[in-house]
Amino acid sequence: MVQRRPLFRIFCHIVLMLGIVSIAFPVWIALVATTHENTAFATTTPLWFGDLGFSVFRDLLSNQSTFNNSSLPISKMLLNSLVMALVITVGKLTISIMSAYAVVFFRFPGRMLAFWMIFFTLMLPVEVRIIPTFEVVTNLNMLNSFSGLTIPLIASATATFLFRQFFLTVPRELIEAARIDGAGPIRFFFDILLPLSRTNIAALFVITFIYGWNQYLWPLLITTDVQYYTIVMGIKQMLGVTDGVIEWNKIMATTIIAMLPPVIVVIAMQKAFVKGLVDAEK
Amino acid sequence: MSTLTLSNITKLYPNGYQAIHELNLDIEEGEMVVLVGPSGCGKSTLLRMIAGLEEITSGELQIDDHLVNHLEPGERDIAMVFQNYALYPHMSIYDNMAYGLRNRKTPKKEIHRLVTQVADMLELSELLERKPKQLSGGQKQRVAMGRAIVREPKVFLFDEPLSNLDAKLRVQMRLQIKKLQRRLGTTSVYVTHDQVEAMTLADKLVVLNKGNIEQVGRPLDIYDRPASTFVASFIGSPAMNLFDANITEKGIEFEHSFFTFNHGGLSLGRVKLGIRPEHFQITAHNSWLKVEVELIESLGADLLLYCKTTTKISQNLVVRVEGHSKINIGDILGLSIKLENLHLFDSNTSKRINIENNVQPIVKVAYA
Amino acid sequence: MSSPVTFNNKYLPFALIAPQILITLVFFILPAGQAIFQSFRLEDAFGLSSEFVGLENFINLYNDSYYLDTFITTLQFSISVAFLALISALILSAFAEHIIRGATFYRTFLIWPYAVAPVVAGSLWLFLFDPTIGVVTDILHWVGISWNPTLNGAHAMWMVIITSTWKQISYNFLFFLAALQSVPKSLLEAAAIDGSGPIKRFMSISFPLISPTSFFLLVINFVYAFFDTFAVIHAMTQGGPSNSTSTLVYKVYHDGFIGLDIGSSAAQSVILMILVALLTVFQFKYVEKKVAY
Repeated sequence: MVQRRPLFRIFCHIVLMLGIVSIAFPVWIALVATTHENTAFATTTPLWFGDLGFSVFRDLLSNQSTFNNSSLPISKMLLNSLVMALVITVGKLTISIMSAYAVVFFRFPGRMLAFWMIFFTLMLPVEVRIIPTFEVVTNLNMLNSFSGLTIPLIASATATFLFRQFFLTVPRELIEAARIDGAGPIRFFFDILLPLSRTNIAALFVITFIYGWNQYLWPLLITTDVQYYTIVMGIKQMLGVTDGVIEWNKIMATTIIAMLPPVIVVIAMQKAFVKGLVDAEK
Repeated sequence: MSTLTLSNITKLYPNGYQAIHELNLDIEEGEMVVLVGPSGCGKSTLLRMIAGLEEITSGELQIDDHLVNHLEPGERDIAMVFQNYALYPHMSIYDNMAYGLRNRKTPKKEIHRLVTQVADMLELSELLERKPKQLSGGQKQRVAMGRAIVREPKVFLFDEPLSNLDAKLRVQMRLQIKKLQRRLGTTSVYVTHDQVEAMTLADKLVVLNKGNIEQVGRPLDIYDRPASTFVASFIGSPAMNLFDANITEKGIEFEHSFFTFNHGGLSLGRVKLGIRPEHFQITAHNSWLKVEVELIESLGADLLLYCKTTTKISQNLVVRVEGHSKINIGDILGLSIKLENLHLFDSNTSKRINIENNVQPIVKVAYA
Repeated sequence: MSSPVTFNNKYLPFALIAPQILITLVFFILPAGQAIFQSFRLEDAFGLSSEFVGLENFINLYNDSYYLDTFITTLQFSISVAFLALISALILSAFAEHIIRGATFYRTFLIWPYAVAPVVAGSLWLFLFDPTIGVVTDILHWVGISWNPTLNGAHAMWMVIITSTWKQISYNFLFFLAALQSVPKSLLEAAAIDGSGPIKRFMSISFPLISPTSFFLLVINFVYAFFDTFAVIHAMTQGGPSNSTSTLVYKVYHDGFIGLDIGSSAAQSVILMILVALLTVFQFKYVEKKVAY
């Protein structure tokens, strides 16, 4: 900037640092908590590390720890979350890109109707139709299954709209040159459109993965079998225990485990993610 | 080498706008045909219809006497060079040029041979592995041409390919295109709004206006004998001077001068008189016109004099003279021209009136 | 609306769009229709049959003070979260934009809460706010507030608000930062030459220029707080104590799955659908000008 105001800049840095600290604060406390015995939580929360190190994590992940005397399949839940998130992500990206392609590059009867139907789903987040959707899933025998966990969540409109917006910016001459070069619609899609969409796909991958991993209400509703629990759901079950000692260190450890994959994905793909998110809403 | 025939081609848009009106054009083998005209005249639309990128509302398009109206662009065996190059940004230059051949299932060895040969021809051999964004405008345009050449198509189509280049590059590329087309002998259709490109590149020049052909012919023929005031003022820079004049029993009355001649058949009344800037001669005596110099543009080799006639009517005109003529602003000049450099156009239809057959023009000049 | 250049295939587009349409029909349109259908019916005590009761469910809701309370709770919640999250994010992003160098560093460490599941956030903050051992509880004791969200409705509300805000700040920060970074530098330089300090430049130039983004975020935050916070509430307070943190969405779940009053839950769903529809239309009309036909 033109001016030099070192004091103000230092002030900015301090405020930003404080911001980071306060945002990170809960996670810090959680991490600390995982290293203490549960007895340490009788009166107050410790602020620094205890003696247990990463043993709590180890026990949880190797399924050796118990929780109120029932074994807790943390690894299984992690796996379920991963499968669910990946299936939702790949599924959503695939059908969205196909639909966007159809709507933008073809003229066919019913095109506007299809467009509006997809638009309509923006107004129907799952929270707004939980019971009837639950009934549909039950009737289709999809409870307690991966298909039930994933398919109803694949078809929302945001990805479709994002791809559509991007496709509309492809210069018309590129398409014409491809046609003259003898490329039909399928060739054009794979040879040209898809490679050009790489950034959008990367950004949407991040967004959808997080969306899928963090799903809560829906898995809660349709799974009663522990084998299908996701880790995000599992935390709630642990919190819901009312009698006995609340094993905070295990809860916090599970919380951190549940949090890590999406956070890692976001930080690793930060650039693509930011670009995609900001462009998506513009 | 192929022929191209357009019969009664019409383009009507759904909103009622008619871009092309029953156009007829024959293009010979190996000809370089240039479509020229102002924005909105339909030249690009016509090109795109030949390419198959726009539908032909009615009429027939034939390549080598085969009707191709309903063929996809990829099936017509044509290649196109776009104004914005239209290179595939994620592919290397080699792949850009190879793409069309790959789609036609040309064997790899053959593709390699063709691409390297064309790259050589266009001096692109060192750039084959690069991506388009690493290239300059001129290089990208050469790649676009290379992509077209490699296909060995029946027809080349050029859509204002030089418009995005800077002036100097434009001249270079213009020459290169001309040389290439001669060498390859492929029938070509070239669209431009730049009449210099049109004049220099065309074997056959087609002047378009509002979806109609105004004139077809060799560039110099069109220059010497424009068929209408539109063509007259579009081709040639600076544009031809057009004056209002009258045909009376005495002859053509213009600014107090008379060109008397046997005008049998010509109706009396107003006409448009056309004289190109370079055809004026500055004479001290026996001049037909007296003008005052208002502004001078020096181009180095030429001087452009922007003048006004000294009569009450005071029409504006441009005169081109040699670059080192000693003329100043405010000078009063006497002008005359050779009769064969006079053009006459009908005031209502704007079409050319031929006066060569009317012999023995007797020039009597009288002015105040 | 569509690309100026299109392909001429007859069957391909249908094949491409079929999966999404199919899933949309089965899992979106059909349930929505069913919700509307069920909202007009009342089930008997055993859940074996239902009868058409017209608008009775809706009228009951209208007369139900609990339901109206829920509306108010939701509004309070939304406005508070939106306000807090927007202001904090604005300040942080303004500072980050100002210092330029290091902005990416701060952005990395401020946006990761976006990736955190709401229920995970709930779990973390529950730990911090625990009436017996929470760290924040201790701090509040120190300041003289005896904190107990399990008993005190207002405390529970604040807990949920702060948790949701924690997550929203990162989302808002991202957008604000991008918007501020796209303000043309030449404008700010001209102002600096005219003698404006950084705060004045922000107030008179940057802030007005990012108003589309601000407005957009306002709507998004509001919508988020209205509909997306089920997980936080379910994890932390289950709507309590005594319904003080029961929002509209939570009530739909509670009445339907726990109270088993399908009709009422469906009616609430319908009301929510209308609200979402209104907000979405509003969002697209005034905020996103890109949906051209």
